[in-house]
Amino acid sequence: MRARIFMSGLVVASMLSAQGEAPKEGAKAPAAAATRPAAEQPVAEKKAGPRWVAIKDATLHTVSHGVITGGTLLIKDKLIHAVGTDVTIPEGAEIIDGRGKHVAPGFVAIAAKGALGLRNSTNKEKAEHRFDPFADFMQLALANGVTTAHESGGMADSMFGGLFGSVGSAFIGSHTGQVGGVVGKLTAGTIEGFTLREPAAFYMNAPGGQGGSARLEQRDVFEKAKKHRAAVKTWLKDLAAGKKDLTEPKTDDNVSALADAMNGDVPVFYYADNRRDMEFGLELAQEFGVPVILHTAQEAWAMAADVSRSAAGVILLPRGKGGSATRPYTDPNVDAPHGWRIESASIMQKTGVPWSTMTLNTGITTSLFGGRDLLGLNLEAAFAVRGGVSNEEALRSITLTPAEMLRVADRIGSLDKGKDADILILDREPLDYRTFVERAFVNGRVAYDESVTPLYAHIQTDRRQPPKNWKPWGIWGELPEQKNPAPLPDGSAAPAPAK
Amino acid sequence: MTRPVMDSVSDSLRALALTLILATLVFAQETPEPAAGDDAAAKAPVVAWHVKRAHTITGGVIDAAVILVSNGKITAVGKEGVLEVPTHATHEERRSLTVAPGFVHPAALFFGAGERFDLSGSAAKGDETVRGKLDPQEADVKKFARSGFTTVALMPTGGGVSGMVTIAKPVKPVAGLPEIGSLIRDDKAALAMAFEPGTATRDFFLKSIEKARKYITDLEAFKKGGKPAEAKPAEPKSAEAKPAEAKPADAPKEGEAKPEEKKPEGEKKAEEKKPEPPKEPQKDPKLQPLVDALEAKLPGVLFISGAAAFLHTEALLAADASFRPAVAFTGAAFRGGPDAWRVVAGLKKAGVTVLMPPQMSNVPFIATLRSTAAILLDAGVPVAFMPEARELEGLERFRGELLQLVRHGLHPDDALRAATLTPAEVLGLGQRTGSLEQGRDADFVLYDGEPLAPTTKLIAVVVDGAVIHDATKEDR
Amino acid sequence: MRTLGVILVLTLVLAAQEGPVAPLEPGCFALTGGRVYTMAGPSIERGVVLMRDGKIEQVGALGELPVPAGYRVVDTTGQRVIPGFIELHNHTACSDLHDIVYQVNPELRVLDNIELDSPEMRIARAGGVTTVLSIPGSGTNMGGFGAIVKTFGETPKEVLVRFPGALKIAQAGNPERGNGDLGAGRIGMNWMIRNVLVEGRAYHEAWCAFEEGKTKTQPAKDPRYEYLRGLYRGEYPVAVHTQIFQVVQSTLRMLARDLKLKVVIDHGEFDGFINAQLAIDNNVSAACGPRIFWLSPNDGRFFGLAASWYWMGVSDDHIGVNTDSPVVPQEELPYQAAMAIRHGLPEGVALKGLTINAARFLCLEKRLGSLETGKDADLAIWTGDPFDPRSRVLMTFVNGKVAYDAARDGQRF
Repeated sequence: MRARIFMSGLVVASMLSAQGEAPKEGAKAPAAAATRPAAEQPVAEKKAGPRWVAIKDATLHTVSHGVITGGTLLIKDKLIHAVGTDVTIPEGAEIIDGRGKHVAPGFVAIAAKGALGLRNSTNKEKAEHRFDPFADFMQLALANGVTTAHESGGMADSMFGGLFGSVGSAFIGSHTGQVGGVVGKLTAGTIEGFTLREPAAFYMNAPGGQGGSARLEQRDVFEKAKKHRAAVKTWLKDLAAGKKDLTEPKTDDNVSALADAMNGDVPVFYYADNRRDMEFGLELAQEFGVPVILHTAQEAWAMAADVSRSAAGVILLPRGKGGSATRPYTDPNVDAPHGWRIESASIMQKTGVPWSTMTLNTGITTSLFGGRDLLGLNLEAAFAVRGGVSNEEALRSITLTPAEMLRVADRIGSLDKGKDADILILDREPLDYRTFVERAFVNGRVAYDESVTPLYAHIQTDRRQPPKNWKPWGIWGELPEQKNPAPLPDGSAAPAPAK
Repeated sequence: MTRPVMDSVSDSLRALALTLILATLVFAQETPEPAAGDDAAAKAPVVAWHVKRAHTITGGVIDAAVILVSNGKITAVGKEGVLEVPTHATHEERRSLTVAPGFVHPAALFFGAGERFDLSGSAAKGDETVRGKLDPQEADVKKFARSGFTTVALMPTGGGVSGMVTIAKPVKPVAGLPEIGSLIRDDKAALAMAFEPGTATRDFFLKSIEKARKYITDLEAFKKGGKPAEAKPAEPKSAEAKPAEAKPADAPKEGEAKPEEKKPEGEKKAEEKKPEPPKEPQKDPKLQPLVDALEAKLPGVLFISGAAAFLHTEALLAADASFRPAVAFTGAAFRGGPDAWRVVAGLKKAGVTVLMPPQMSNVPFIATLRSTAAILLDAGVPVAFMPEARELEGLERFRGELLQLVRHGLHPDDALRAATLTPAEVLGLGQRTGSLEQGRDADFVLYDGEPLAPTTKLIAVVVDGAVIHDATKEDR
Repeated sequence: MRTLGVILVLTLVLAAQEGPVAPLEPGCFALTGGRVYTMAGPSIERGVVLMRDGKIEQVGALGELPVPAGYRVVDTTGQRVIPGFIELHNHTACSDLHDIVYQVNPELRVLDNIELDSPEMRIARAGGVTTVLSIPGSGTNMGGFGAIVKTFGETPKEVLVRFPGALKIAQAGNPERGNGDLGAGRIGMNWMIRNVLVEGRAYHEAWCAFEEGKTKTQPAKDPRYEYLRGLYRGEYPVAVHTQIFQVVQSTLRMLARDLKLKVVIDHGEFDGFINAQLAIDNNVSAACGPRIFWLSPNDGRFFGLAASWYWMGVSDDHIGVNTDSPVVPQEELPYQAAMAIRHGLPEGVALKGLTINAARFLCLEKRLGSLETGKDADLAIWTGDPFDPRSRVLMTFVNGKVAYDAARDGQRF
């Protein structure tokens, strides 16, 4: 490599002061590029044999079989090879010291926007042919633990999005339903191993306030699907019987998807928020044998028995929608329990209804919903704990349960041998509000590393410690030291919650 | 992969010209003098440019240099006192100035060629040219002459196979509207393509490449008179040639699968009929440029938005080892500047040249200004700069942009090459322009200092040996 | 009847343990056994808080401070007793948001619009919030004067802590009108704010001169400037809706440095924190909210709320948190602070910001913000770390009365 020549004199001096260490960085760039996780790694000579990574002596939140303290998780190439306390680490394995760390399966965002680097998720084209693995939203979501996202529903919200998110539009769909969506992985930096399921599901909104004709139209779709299903059955039977001159029954994609759902092959997400809407949806579900998953089901707690009988599960906002319109309320016209309750999740849990957690803003935002967007998925689940469920149940609602709802639980959702190595190394327990991801593995590959991505690298696990390299922009001079970084005499005004 | 002659001449003339040039090249190596033994050349008027310094690009930097120009071509470059100057030569005394090849703009939208690089869609425009759209104005031609660019490629736009690239050179501005033909030197110099990742666009390219490859193999078979060969992409890389498509989720469901598997039409026919003698495959003018590109007869440029798009492009490159267009990063969809550095390993592996705006990258999550060009060059990926300017006015900023990159660690020689010879090579003009050596077009620019120093001014522009702009003789 | 029975039994049990039964005195509570954050010294591992007649009577350690007879005892073992949280920026305690009359409206006030026991306030106290500064919105540069109110109370007297609570100034953003075509951009707005405050200062000085007998002629009363006098007497602060580097800078220069007002930065988001040194120099406090984070385009780092101000050097006594309720729901005030902690603020500083600091910003540190003898008995009993989304409020006391009791009212949050 040719030696770099820098211009001398005042020009360079002024450039240096304005651009920080940029010239140096430019010169060093190739070496730096090799360490960036978002950049494609230079082609390394392929070593023979599998690549082993062992995370040793960590607290493993397996989700499927409890919490293992002092456990080891072994990754072989793209898969989890072993989980437990008596794992033999093969020679040559990369060993990560997990002491004091928590390891959890990557979070599954069951309703997301933007995390997959899709500018428009309603596009009919395959997501894996067009997603952007360098999208900054993807890095942000990974930094907060999301490794799999289910996206269906228009454009990603802008970073400085509106004041109140339209939760109802978390998915595409209308009262007559629509098939689509994608379950994809946040592969950051590569397009390999992205798709888990596409199209992902059938989406349908409760007719809501649209009146009687909308209800009839919705019922009509179910009738059509039922008919189509029967016709396909007959056709297959006739074929098997060797009859001739048969025509394959044809219908549109949506009806055919709903027919598949009747076979149990496609999940159905049914948007119903209040009692009336849920009652209608559950009635159809029962009658046509379609196990729907209710989403944004604010009043599901009030009709838990019905939900338990007819629905395959619910997607909840454990802390409610927020904003004055959706606080706990009483509607004098409704003569039954209704409104939002912090115990929603806990009531579902007790009734045996599978429930998963979604966030108030299903996109990523730095504005107003901050903390209640995709970056706070684990915190939203923590609100369910406030309502009465256990930590383990809450963690399941953002890992294994959504994976099951999306029919991808054979691949992801828990720390089990044979599953994809989509794994988080966390500096605190998964539901702690101070938790950050130190490293996120997707398909066994490091997709996010806190220490090389500037996002949160400056924040210390012990908040009383000054941030690392704390000099925003580097041109504001020396900063005064905080003389009393832990002002309360007992040193911990708000100690870590009991584990 | 380079085409030695740009003008539309018959094949035989083309061959002749090639032989001539090769001959002169060989000859030049032995005697660094103007073709002394050739009577015609000796009689032709020769201009000797005496300069302080010459950046030849291919032959290093020569202090106190002389450049001999005859018939619009450079006949020799050498050191003052060493290089023999013919006695009948006229002299251009520019001993205070530094000379470098004129810049080559590999992707311009001037003169009405287009508004912006539109990547969306998948049109098959094939051999269409932008010539009909061009409408240069008098003022534009003036600006063009002073820009320091001696060659520009006027690009067709639009997703898919966008069409043919037109090469233009500036001329001495004259009063009144210029004659379009005086600017244009070739309107089918290269093939422009644009790819926005998507299922439809991907299928379009994969199918087009497959069709083009089939045409080539069929033609070969026809010429041999043998059996039409099964279309095979050149040297498919086993791991990447087949995009992983057959997934369990896509597999037909049990019970729904048709009981009788239909055999492809071709197979059935093959069973029924005896092989006929191969027919000459029909030439498709829309497909032919891609065929030429696969056969390395025509350079190609593929426009994409950024690094993410390149990852999706890799599937297209894997489909046929001969599908190796230069890849232009428009950066349109990316807000942190050119991001080709993210995929440097992939670019290196694919062996493509990168076209990129001469900009630093300042990307969120990267935290530092990085020089994408330096990263690519260090990794061995050739880089050609494509000025961001959509308007001719903006071209004046180009040298400043290069200067910025130099300040951030790009070697000035690398920067100059990426603005001259490499873009010329991308367009198949590497043997015609982009460097100062014998046999090249006399396309160069005179500066009052180092070309990439902040206080340097552009003094004169020479195209095909003619001074088309001279600041010392014109009112600015 | 059953409740009565339970109380009877309980009383009997207590009687059996502690000798003769004293009848319960109304308004007397003893919280025993929980960890007490007094915010006026070390926290007490197992403490006792005695409340009487709406005030904190005494705070001490279990075993050291005896519980007098007649006090209703609440066992808080394993729980945390924390002063009621104080909201510095609230728009939900009164029914109007604002009146857009002129660009600056120092004559307007929210006092006449305060609602008693509104649904919003019921929710607020269920979240452990006991006091809010209710201020006009930011439709104009000066929305008028806000009032400080408790989130629970049966009479206006109980609810109202102080009027005027603070002057609301909105420096940029919402009050901006067009691009100078009609109304004002930032330059014009700054001039108008400064102008009315300078006029108010002249009015105040004229009256002071008269009151001190320096002049004989009594100035005319002008309701437009009357409330501004308190600002110059240092009785209450200016709550400034200000954010973004340039705007915060003008707040600090114009209001704090030039006009010497007591300034509390509200909002304070985006890159406003870069002005920290100017805030320190002018003794200005910074409260951050609602939840707007700053993903720096310069270096790709994620900055959050008050954490940035703190680590830029603003001391732990000058850090606050606000929600801008209803923009962020009032009961999410502690969650707001949790977000600041998430992005780097020490937990202890956040707790100060919600309690004693907020009281001091409002010039009410003698009455609110800590558990000390003689202060208002405003506190909440939490199941754990109040910033942890998993913790919840069991009981809230306002003025020594049970304002929220999860067991009685059902768990709200």
